[in-house]
Amino acid sequence: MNVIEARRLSKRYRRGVWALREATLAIPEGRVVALVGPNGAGKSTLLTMVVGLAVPTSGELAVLGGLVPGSVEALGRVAFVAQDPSLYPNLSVADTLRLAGNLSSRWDEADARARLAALDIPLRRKVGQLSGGQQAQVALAVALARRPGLLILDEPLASLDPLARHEFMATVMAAVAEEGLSVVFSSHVLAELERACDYLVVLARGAVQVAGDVDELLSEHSVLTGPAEQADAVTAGLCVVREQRTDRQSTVLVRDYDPVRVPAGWRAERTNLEELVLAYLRTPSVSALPGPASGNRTMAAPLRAVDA
Amino acid sequence: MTIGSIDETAARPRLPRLRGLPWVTWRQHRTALLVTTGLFTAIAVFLTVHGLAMHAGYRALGLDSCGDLHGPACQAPLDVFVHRYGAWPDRFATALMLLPAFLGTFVGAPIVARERDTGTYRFAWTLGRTRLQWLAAKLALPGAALTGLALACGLLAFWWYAPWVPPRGRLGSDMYHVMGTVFAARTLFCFTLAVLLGTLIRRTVPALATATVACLAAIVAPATWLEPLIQKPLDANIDTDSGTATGMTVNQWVVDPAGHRLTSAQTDDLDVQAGPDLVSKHQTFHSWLTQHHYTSWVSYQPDTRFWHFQAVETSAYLAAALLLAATALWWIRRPIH
Repeated sequence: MNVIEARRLSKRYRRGVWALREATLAIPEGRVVALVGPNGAGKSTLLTMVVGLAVPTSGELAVLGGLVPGSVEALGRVAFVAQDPSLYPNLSVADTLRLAGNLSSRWDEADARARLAALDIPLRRKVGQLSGGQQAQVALAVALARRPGLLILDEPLASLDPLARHEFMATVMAAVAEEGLSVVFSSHVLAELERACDYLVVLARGAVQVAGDVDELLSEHSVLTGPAEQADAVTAGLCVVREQRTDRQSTVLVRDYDPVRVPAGWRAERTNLEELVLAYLRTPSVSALPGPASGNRTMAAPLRAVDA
Repeated sequence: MTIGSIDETAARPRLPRLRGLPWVTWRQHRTALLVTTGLFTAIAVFLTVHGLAMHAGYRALGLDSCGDLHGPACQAPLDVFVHRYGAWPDRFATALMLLPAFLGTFVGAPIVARERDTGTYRFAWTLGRTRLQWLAAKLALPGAALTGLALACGLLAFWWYAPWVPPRGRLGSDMYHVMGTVFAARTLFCFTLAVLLGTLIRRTVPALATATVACLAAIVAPATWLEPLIQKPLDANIDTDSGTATGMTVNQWVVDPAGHRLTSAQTDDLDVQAGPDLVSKHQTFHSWLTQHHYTSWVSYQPDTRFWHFQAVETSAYLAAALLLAATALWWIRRPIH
């Protein structure tokens, strides 16, 4: 089952700006997905459509194996924590839980209370008087108490201090370990998701640029380093994501490279997730997407990007 | 079947606790509803206390037993009653006539506008209920509460006004707007109009301002221009038709001894011509006209049409309220971004 399935999904705002353009994406069940991309890439647009707050201009979108986003069935199984938690500031924490419980088809009040008690968040305090980190934790406790199949977190860490970020991520990862739910995070800061996620989606300029299992992506990409004058000969015929040259040395990120064929004087190394994402983001013309039926990966535009 | 339904009722707890959307609606709008209830309670207490005193005064002056109210036996006590209580119907009407606009706006406009304004819709509308279900509950419950309170107030005002029916009638009084069912229908109408405007405008303060203006216009404009058109008015001679004393006057004019209807300019000339007589003989213009064989005519709505007018206006406001509520429900399903 795919928890999110988008086919040629487009969203155009009234001003005529395309936030998403023909985005196609399939996210399998049980993953912790990092949705990354620069500001304005369409991350929030995609997520607001997944939770049913916005409707696509064209294309298809389904959640949790074919449910229509925003339908009662989908709302009952998709939980959402918005960028700024968007809770009612004048409600107490207890009343916030009661309100959410009264609006949810499934609700585990004891679970929410236990989470908040563990974090020393007083139930009688008004939400508006809590710190940003505590508000995020209340929103997360509400989301988890709804026993969702899919948890959507839109830039959850953006306004939190480092300690609060750590605690928030710890809560999410504990819930993933216990309940096996699928999680989609969005962020423009990859470093904070790197340890948590096992699936990566990179959005750039309204399109999906990279999508795949993190381990597979890392094993498929290699960094070749060698003398600059040989670079053209070495990279001919390879899938080059990004090449950086100085006068003497060339560093090339390549994909689907056979490490047995490393030429003399060159070195092949594995890359890390942050470098990989940055390389793609700096080279918007290149993408790495799952193939249609065969499962093979295809290079949409195997052009070399030279950045002297 | 009867037995089955009795069993079902018995199985339920006597006072079920609010759950689901009704509880959410109550929790989020209880302040507005309590303020509204408090206001209506204050009005009800005042109407009751004042009404009991006024009704007692009417009986104490013997106005209920003096026969023809316009006859000589009633003249003196009626003057006293009018002197004592005569200003109250207009005072109440002025104070309460526009209340539906303010209350409807106060309760209705923030319902969607505030969620959009503060961003809390992202929380409220991504829990387990659709926007349609959410708004339906928020229209139905506060709408029913407001309408019920306004209806009680309108019926109490109807009772309060009773002593003024023989001398003045209900239809011609400004209290018409506060009595009976029109008051409640206007309250519901203003509430749904405010909810719709809040849904469209999406900002609390502009929604409140726009809804207030729109609701005031939707009360005052029909009351001024459409009400007299509900039924064709009757023409009658003031002196020979007793019904003219209590109806709603639409127009009046003077007919000269030859049977020609005078224009208002001609009537004004006549008034100037009568001037010296009016001063020297302490005459009213009306008696001067009668003495000089002119007749005074009115075009009027007889007071017996009160409930017909109330029914027509109530249905019109209720139909409009339903239309507005349906529009708001349709609109909220539209995509947000």
